[in-house]
Amino acid sequence: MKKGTKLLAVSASLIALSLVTNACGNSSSSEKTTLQFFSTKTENAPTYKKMIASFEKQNPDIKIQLSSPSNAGTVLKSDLAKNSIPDIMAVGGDVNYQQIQKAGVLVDMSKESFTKNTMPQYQKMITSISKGGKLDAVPYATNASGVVYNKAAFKKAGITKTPTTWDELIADAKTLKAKGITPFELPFQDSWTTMGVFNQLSSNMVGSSWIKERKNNKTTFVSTYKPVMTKYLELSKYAQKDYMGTTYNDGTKALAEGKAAMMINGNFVIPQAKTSKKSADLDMFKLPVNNDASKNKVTSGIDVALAVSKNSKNKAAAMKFVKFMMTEKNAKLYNKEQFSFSAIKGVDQNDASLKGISADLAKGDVVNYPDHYYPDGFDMTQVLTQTGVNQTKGMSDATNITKSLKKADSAFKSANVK
Amino acid sequence: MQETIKRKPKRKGKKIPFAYYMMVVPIGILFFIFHTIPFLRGVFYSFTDWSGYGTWKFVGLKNYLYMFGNSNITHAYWFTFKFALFATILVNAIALAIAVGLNGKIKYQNFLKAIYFLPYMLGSLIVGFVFKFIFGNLLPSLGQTLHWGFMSSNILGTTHAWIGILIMTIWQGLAFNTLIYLAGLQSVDPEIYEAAALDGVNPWQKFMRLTFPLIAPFFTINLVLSVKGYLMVFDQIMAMTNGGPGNSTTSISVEIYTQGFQGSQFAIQSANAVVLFIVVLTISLIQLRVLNKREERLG
Repeated sequence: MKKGTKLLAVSASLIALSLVTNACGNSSSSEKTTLQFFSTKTENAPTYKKMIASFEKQNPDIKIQLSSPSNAGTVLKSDLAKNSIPDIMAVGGDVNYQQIQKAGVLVDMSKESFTKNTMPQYQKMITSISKGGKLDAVPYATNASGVVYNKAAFKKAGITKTPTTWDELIADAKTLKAKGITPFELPFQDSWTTMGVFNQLSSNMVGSSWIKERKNNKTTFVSTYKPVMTKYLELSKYAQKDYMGTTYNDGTKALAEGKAAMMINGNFVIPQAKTSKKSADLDMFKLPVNNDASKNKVTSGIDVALAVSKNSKNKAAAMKFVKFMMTEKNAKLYNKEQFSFSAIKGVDQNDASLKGISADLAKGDVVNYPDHYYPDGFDMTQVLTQTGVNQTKGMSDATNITKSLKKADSAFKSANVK
Repeated sequence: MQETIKRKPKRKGKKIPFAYYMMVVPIGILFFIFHTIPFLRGVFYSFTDWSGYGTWKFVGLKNYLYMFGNSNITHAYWFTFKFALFATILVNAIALAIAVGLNGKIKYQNFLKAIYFLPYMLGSLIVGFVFKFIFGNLLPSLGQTLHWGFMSSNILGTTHAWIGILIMTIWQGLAFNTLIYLAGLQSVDPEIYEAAALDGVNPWQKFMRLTFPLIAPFFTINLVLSVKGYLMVFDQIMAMTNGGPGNSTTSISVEIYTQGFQGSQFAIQSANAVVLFIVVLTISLIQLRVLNKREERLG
């Protein structure tokens, strides 16, 4: 008995020991410089892999390890907590960037040669959310909000020209509805899609300095956002039945099949819709929020910005890779494969299904997403889905607007602590 | 439980075989490292203003006070209690009925047992996604063809979204509870029923006076485990509604996760987690007390 247990103990500890030594053994490799490349997006990994392959061919002494976990934000935060962030990071121009930038662990990019080739509007989107107004990441790929529409559905309803003012938009919606086509497909079961509508209204109707005042409690949602909410609710009146119960996938399917004519969201809707119907003829136009067409801008944000860690042991190699990614050839490859826009001057998006807005983006005639400036814990989608439920229950618009905005204010207040 | 502690004999001087320590100590150490230490750290951070990384300082009970003033958190508690109450009662009532049925001499008994146990083998996340599809696509199109107004829209997009989650939870929760009740029913000596049959007991009396008291310990286990589980409901909500619409289906765990990790309120949600722990612990202890007393009375 006793002998047996001792044997058990020895073998158990041996197994444990071998596990530990195995784990250590893996890290030792040849003299190649290995760089960690972290991405917050999962869908663009194939494109990155192509770039990495051609970079490694040019630089045989550098090896790049790409990691793009699905819960990237949390992974990055825990890396930050452990004080060991990856060498190169591809992050969105949002809280993920803000959090690592705030910790002061990123290299200043403002002096780099490739930074000079990027559009100043997008540089500003980075500096405006950075501590100390610094440019600690270089903008790379951008996205664009707008209205994705089904050309065939427009033709069927006899609409020949895309609307450029709010009144035209509503008139077109009425025409479509009369023809039995859903004017706006709103897939609000997936709550993030509410922001696709709200952001565009908000960025075109409320000035960008508003959020600073709100953070200092000098203004409120109730006092400013009534016109925004009025338009938000007006749009949902032309939505499909049960819009609170429709998922994003089902919504994009309805759009591709022409059951619905428009979806108010971003350029990423197009590839998603085409997965359910490849031949769908889709294009985009900017959401005409105001009746003065010259005031309407495309809401565009930074999808990918590239940053390098200050504590990286191979900073020069990391910079070399960033520079490689920023070359026109690779930026074009990214645009083409990821169906996005480039923050680099002169790298245009020429896809036919983005024709309606690519000119605005090439000019840099854009405004940023308002929710990129919201405090961390503030979830506007919660307010907006409640608004939607209230409407489907038959609450009057006036009560609904006041109730929702009051809720937004109280949620903002409880998130705006520090 | 307390009785067992009291009854423990004192083994002074007697040598305990080494093998027992071998079974308990390694797991005990692992448990301490991977469960107790993180838990204690969570408690520790609930008294600080840590946002999950970077520097922090002590803030005393500020996080706890903030919690009770935050309408989202109080709503999460209200929703969770409501959900746990309905889920526990319905799951246990239905599971008991199924178990009694399966324990009877019916055809295809073993096949049916396997069928009823199937949901237990599927993860709540998977079942959640399946039900999301059922509620979002199958039921509405069925409702539209039958012209049933209440079924023609996705319940998860209405104020009744919690009922959708409840239905899914009951479907999945039945498996385990039925299994436990079935084990209880099979432990009952059939001679008791034979004796009762001689006394001319009707089926309802047989259930209330004999079966139910005899499986009382199993009832206790099920009730305690159900309440504990449903107070910590998380997976199915993440899969089906993500806490929406609005915050109508945000349970305490969902609130802790979303606000703690995505909203950088790590310290506040640590406090919330500590409160949830105390709530679950208190409710479980009260249940054990009350139900154990009842078991004793019945026995």
